[in-house]
Amino acid sequence: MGLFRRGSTTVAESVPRATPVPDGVRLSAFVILDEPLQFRVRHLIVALREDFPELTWHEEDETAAEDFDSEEQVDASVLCGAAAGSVRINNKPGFDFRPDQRLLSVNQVERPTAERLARAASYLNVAIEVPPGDPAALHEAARYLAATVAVLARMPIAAAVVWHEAARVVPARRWVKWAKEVRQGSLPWLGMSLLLAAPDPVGSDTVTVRTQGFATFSGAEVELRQAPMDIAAAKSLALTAGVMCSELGHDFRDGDTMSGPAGPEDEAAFTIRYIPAARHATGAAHRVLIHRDSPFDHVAAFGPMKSGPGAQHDREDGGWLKRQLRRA
Amino acid sequence: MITDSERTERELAQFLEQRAKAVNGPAYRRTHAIATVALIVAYADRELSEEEIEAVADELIPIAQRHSLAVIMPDPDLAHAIASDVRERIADYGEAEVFEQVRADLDETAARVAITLAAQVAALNGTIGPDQMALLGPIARQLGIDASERDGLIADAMRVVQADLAV
Repeated sequence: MGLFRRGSTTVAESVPRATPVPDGVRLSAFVILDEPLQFRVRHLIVALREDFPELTWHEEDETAAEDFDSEEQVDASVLCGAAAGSVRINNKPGFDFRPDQRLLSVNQVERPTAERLARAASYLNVAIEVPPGDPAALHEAARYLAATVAVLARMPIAAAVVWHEAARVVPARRWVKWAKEVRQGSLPWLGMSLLLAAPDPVGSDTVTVRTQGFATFSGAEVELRQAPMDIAAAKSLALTAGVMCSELGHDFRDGDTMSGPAGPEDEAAFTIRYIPAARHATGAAHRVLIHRDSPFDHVAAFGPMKSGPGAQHDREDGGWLKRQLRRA
Repeated sequence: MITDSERTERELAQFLEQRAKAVNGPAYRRTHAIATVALIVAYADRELSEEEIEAVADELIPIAQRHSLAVIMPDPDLAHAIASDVRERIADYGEAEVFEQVRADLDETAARVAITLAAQVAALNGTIGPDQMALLGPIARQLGIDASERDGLIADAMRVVQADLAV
């Protein structure tokens, strides 16, 4: 289902993961513009070299000398990287590119940006395809995508960026800031994923929180299912678990445990269930944190645990992505 | 791909203009304001020649350097973009309104650069026409430049033009 489709589906249901393509995945972002943009690819390449000189931008692309207008159909590309992959820049006249109200609400988009989006007249889709099973290529492709989007987002007429992998709507200026972090070598993918949080149905005092788009770069989403805590604390805990996985080298497996917000005094407050992509409704692997007082029956939902609490893990290996990059 | 042969230079240079605004901020606005004043004066006779537009791009940096003023690189495409924009806005709002829109971006030094550039572009053929002179005076006055300083700036501009014409 499409990111911008109006309908009865929830945001979580309506947003695809990094879109599978025959030869891998396609990462994609939409730059929403106040007015149509006319550009020449060669000028864009000059700007990319100025803002991201550490990356490799080639001029040999067949569209380099062409002029494009986002009011019309755009089919441009920028050759980049050592392997000379292509960042594709497209649009389709008539496509309803404005994020709907629910997407704005979930993303807590502030009024000035929401008003600009409502008046937006044009957009550009920036995308890159990545071969399957190559985390190093995925990370590299994401850097080139983030950089290209940042150069476009830096222009005064850019209102916002919609990061397709997370259904994340962010003001253009914030994307530019993230792209600089990517440039400096850090991996702000947790920040760039969407944190969905909501109280559970009336009658219970629990909340459910989960990341969306984090799995693309960390291997699995993080979810707190029916946790008996307030939303702020639940969000904080989900982010902590995300950082533990992506940055600190924790490799939570099915049946592991994790301390609660009180730290060691709250030892083993959460049981962690690892749900492979094939077994989760969203199509992405999940690490689901179940609080000891949660009413959620994870065994009934996910089956018996693969291992017991207290499994030993190597925490010196730097997290999922770094391990994958080393293997690549 | 753009196929419409009537696409204006302003549109083709839009990316460059947006980029200049993003990268240079105040310097872009200052450059835009100086070029706008020069083009308002150049357009006083209701014609804006290719030669005048190129002169804005070519002469802006040397004049700004003489006054120790930071401006951005006067890309010819950008000069065309500003020229087209000025022409359209004068047609819509008149010279006075277009000048008012950029006045706040001209401090004392930028004002001197703007008057010098305007005089230099207006005098490309060796003299400044009466229509252009009729605009230079009031604009200089509104920018806080008195008559004697204005005449000095115009004399400087004329010297440069005469030197160029003599080559």
